[in-house]
Amino acid sequence: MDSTLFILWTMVGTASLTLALVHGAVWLLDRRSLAHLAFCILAFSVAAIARIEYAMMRAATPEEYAQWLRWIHVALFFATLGLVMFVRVYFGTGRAWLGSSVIGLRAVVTVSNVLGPAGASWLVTGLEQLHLLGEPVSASGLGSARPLQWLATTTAILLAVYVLDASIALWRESEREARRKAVLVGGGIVGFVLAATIQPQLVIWGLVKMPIMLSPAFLVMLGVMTYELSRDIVRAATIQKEAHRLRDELAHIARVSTLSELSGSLAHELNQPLGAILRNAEAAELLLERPAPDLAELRAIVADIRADDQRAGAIIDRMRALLKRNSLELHQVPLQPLAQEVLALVRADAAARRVTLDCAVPESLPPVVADRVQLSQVLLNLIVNGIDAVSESSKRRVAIEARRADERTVEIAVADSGHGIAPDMLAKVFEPFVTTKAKGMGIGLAVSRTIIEAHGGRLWAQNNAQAGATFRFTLPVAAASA
Amino acid sequence: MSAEPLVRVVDDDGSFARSLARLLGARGFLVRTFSSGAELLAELSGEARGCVVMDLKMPGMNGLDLQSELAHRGLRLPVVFLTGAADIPSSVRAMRGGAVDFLEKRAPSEHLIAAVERALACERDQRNLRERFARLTERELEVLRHVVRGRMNKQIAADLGIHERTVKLHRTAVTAKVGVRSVAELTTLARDAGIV
Repeated sequence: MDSTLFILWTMVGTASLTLALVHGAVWLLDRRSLAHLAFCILAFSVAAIARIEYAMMRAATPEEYAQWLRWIHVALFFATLGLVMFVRVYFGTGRAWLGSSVIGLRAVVTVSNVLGPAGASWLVTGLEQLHLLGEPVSASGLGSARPLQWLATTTAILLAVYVLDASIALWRESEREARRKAVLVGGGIVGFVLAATIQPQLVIWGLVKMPIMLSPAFLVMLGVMTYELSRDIVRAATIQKEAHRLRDELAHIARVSTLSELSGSLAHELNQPLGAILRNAEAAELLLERPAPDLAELRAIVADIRADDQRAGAIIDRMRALLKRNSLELHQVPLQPLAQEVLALVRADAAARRVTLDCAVPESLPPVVADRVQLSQVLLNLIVNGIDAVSESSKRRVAIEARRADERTVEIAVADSGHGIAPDMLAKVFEPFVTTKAKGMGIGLAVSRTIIEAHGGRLWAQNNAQAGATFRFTLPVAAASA
Repeated sequence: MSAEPLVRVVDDDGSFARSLARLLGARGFLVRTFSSGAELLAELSGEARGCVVMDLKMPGMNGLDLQSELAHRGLRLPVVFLTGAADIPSSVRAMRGGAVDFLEKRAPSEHLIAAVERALACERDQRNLRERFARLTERELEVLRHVVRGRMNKQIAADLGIHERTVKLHRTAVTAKVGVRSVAELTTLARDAGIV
């Protein structure tokens, strides 16, 4: 019998069930999103309520009607639990004692109805056939409310008060988004709770004759809530995108700042091949003025000019790669050549400050999953910090080491022989704008940690047993070589 | 220990050292390249002639270290510094250490050649001067040291326990051998030659 009622209530049930599954999945993906869990519980309960309501409308005997009535109390308990929990976690307001009182009272009503004699709060002794949407439905004809019903009604009123109070508190926060939530969601829930409470109460206390219809109103409320939750998901995605953009931007600034620290030695490094090219060209000019130029020598000069040009080009390419703005692009990156490239950038600076650079990055290491530019940046930052740390020490050594930590991780360590880090600073050095350098901005390490964490790794500092500090970070090994 | 003055180019960057050697070679200088200060020191003796053109920034012993090491060993070769990017503190230190010049690596070649020529001339003059003073006897040198301190013949005679007239004779011999006319000139040259 495909009646309109059947279709309507089935629709309410399946819609609620779908919403429950969707938000349940969201919660499973992110266990901290308790609002989604609360919503999921509520939506499941609504689906159950719809199913029970339909059965009640189709009940043939008062006994059957009463039997379903027991079960609707179980569904109502979970609906109340979901609702109280949702308001609590989603609004961040709502009085805990009021919320737990509502749940506690509801539990008493439910237990009494399920375990006690049939009709603990509302005894139905006879059914009446009414017409709804042109179809005959069963409704309670002869029924009487028991004293326990007072408790149920009080609970419903308390629930409305709880939500109203939470909404008002949220409204007081006077932030635009909060106010919107307070009015739309808070208002929606209060409206529903009132509607859903008043209608059955009127029926139960015998003031109107109609079936109990909670679920359609519940569905409307679910719609409002799911709209808000989805909006939050979209908003979070936008915020995250913006956060990623800012992170990339900040990483770029940090790279520029690190490179500017190195600019003196980079100029020196660049002037080396440029100077050689110039001198070679001048020598060639002089040789060409001779009556019988030494062609072999001239050829050697041209070959040297070519090689020096490539050397200068490589220096510029390395700098440009680091100065480029980029967003995180993960590739398989072999560590050894990357370490060599970074060392090439700092070698001149280290030599000028008489710091020995040791590099023990075995070629046999598997490639890691990383963004070339950002990984270079982290390594560069740690090495430059290391050089700074030892430049006042008697022993000036910075060592770069990489090893396979386990099946899926490679660990890279940059150790210096400086004075180490004060114990109370070990964690603080990663905070933004914390610096021990006269000219530093204090963002290098903070940005480095963000970068490594975005790669799914970890960056930390520790003091060495002998002298100086070691900065270590981990990176995931590329899947193919794991 | 060649008779010809030799320009010694010291740079850890082989390509740059080679290019500079080519240019100076084409300009008629006798040139040899060294890849480090240690390599240069191993080759040098007190008789070495010529000058040193060296990179300021080198791994291990840098240019300034090499300059003081040369002075420490009494090797009086004039030094021309080259640098990729000049900074004031090191140029001050280099010039204080007696460098002939301090140039950027890409300085105009005339400046570079002029600096090398100046360094060689300086070394030549020094050598001449030292040779002039080398003719003096022990006693004449002793008298000279007193003279440049501005002491009177009588005082010198008393200090050395000789006759005042003998002092006068030594002084005349000194001025004749060195080839100067005044005490002031003698004092300046003695300082330049490093006698006092």
